[in-house]
Amino acid sequence: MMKKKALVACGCGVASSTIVAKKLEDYCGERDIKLEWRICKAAEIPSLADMMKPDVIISITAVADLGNQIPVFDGKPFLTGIGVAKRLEEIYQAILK
Amino acid sequence: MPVRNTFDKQLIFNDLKIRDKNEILQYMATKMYEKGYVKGTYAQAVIEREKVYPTGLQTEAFGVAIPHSDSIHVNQAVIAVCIVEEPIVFHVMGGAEEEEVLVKFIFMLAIDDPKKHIEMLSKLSIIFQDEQKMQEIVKLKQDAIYEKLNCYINH
Repeated sequence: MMKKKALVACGCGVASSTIVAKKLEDYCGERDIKLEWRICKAAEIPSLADMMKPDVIISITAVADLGNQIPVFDGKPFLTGIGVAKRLEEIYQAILK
Repeated sequence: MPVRNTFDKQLIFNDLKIRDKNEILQYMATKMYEKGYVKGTYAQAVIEREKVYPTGLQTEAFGVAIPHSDSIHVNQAVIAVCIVEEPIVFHVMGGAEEEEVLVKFIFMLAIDDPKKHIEMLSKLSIIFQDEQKMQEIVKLKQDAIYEKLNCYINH
């Protein structure tokens, strides 16, 4: 099983990020990818991205360009359910690269 | 593993006469405090956080909000629920300042450790994304709402 890493952020790194992370973990698991994830506050993204070197970043709040080539996705579809299938696939494809 | 005691019968509100967002948040938080779930600092923390990081979401069925705080203000995990008669304006999560959503369902979350409650949070989002379930819940009385939510979150 391939291992990949995701950093998932929301306002206080408690609720929304957890919801997003779990759904992404399940989606990847079904496709034989073991997703390791960490939730954080939006403000912690730059330092944690440096440390953890995730394959992908998903954030509920807007994120400034980190200039480090790590793809960043808006995680809101995971919470509203609107457009979630498309977003999951986009993230999955980005993780595979 | 079933998620037990996620909701509390006395923390389901569907007959409040309050129309102001902050007053509702204050009311729900105070009830949670009276039952020992959260600390005295929780209400203010939720209201302040909502200003900086709003939690309104437009789902298929209704506008939903999931106000919550940092875990340091929480004693024990619980979800309080308020269904308002007249939808209330919330700002959209992660949206621009002017983005608003009319909220019918408020799920106020007290979370002590998100890692422990992954399933619960994940299932809550599955419920509020489900148009049919939400349309059903909105018509029920207090006790029935509690039973239904417990049933949905454990399956």
